[in-house]
Amino acid sequence: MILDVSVRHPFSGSFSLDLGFVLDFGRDGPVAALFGPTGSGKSATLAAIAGVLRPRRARILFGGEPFVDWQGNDWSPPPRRRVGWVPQDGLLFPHMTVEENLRFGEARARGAAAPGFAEVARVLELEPLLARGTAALSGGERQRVALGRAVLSGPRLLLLDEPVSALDDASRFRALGFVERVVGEFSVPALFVSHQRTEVLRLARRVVRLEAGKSVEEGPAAEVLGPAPAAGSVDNLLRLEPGPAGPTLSGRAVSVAGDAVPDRPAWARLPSAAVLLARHRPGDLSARNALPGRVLSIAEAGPAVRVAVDAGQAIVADLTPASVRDLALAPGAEVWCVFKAQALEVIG
Amino acid sequence: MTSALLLSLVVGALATLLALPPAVAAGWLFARRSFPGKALAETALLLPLVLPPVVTGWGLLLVFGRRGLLGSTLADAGVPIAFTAAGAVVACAVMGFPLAFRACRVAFEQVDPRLEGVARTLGASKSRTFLAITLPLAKGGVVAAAVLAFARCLGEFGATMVFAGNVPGETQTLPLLVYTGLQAAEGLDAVWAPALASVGLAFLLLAAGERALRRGPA
Repeated sequence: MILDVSVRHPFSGSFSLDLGFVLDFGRDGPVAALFGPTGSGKSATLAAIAGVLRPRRARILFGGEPFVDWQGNDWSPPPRRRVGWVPQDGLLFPHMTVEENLRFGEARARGAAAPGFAEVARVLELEPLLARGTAALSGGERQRVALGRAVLSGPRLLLLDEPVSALDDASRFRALGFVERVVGEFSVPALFVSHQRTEVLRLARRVVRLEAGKSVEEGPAAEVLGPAPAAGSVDNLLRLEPGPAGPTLSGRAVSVAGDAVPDRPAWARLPSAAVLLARHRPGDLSARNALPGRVLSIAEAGPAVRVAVDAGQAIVADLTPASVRDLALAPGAEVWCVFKAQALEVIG
Repeated sequence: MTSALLLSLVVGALATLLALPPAVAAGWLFARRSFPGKALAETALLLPLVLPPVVTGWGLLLVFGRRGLLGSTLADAGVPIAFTAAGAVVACAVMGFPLAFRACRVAFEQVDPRLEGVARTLGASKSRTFLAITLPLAKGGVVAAAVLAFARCLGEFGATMVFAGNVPGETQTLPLLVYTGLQAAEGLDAVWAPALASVGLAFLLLAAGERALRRGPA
């Protein structure tokens, strides 16, 4: 499926959108990203693809089907586009329960390809939320419901606007895992928007970089985003709590780099490249720290494979594809995260 | 007095039913769309709010009177409007419309248009989106609009007097009964009951309207 987008649209003030890009989801993988700072036109571009914003001039094609052409002809209204748009904060219908929100999407499912309600609820772990109102949901829960509602409508493409930016660090990796699962299980390509490098690297293989309303670069994620800090590694941000014998991480004692042992809750940085995974509790090892957890998700990240583990807090580890295979890692697998004290740096 | 009270309630209810659909439609239009002459059109729609009601009544006579633009056709068809109960309903609806229109417009403006966008991308038609998303979310404001229009109808005097007359049992609503009582030679005893009934009704309606506005969407 090829998404071919050219949009020109003046906004009030001096900002205007003038960009174009072509994404081939079949060739480049199921997830692509629009990456750029806040105010670079990412959300407006998504809205134009969804048909929610009607640009002054645009040519948008998806899978060979025109959504609109330069003359403004063939304007395809949103229902006909069959594109799932998940705006920021999820935007659930506030007068409906979670289930009613999901059913609204389901009722309008177009095409026999739409996934079933039970299936979506299972994959996104929505069953416990169904009867709840939308006001009481956490940010992560709202995103999951919004994602489920969009998927239930049977879209050919998902447009995700900053799907996890509103979440705290701990929830973010988990939420990205749900996006991945949806794309994988329901075979829907996704274009997502983010200003966070780590999110883009985690999910997308193809990236379009936007700046001030223009598309300035387009290509493989690693190229467009440039060399990653610390050689492809991303930083885990972990919350430390003071314990009787030094700091603890999710209830387990850990050793940290240096002498600065925090005596109050603190954040620590742990590069993903510095984390080892083991299937069993390791012994006779110089590494000071070992935390049990469960694999949340596995994704390619350049030459490495990025494994997210729920160890009370989400910890991302970069492994070689061979290690992932030899350890038979899959979502749900029980693992131990192992890392040296030197790798866990308290940052305040 | 009972017949005037009943007539007031029936005329008020029918006039509200008559005024509300165009008020909802216009409220949505002015909240969601921009078009040339919008400001002018809005002023025109709000005109009955500030015009002397007798002028509005006279305008209605020009249109719906026996020799009026539409009135002659309607009269020929056997549906006279002026100086009938139907005329009282029309006069009240016209007077109540601007209030209902404004309340609806504000109510629709407070609904996040992106929610409508989401519904559309989920496959809902425009009308389905309006009925399932926009209207329920604006419900509090629309109920308040109905209450306001109804309350305005109960107090309506000038336009009704000019356009529908003051016929007991046919067009004599509570305010007209009060007025008639004040004109009568035998003293003010006949004024008390309809006047107090008006005060009571007004009190109830204001409370109900405020409640609907505060509660918002259910």
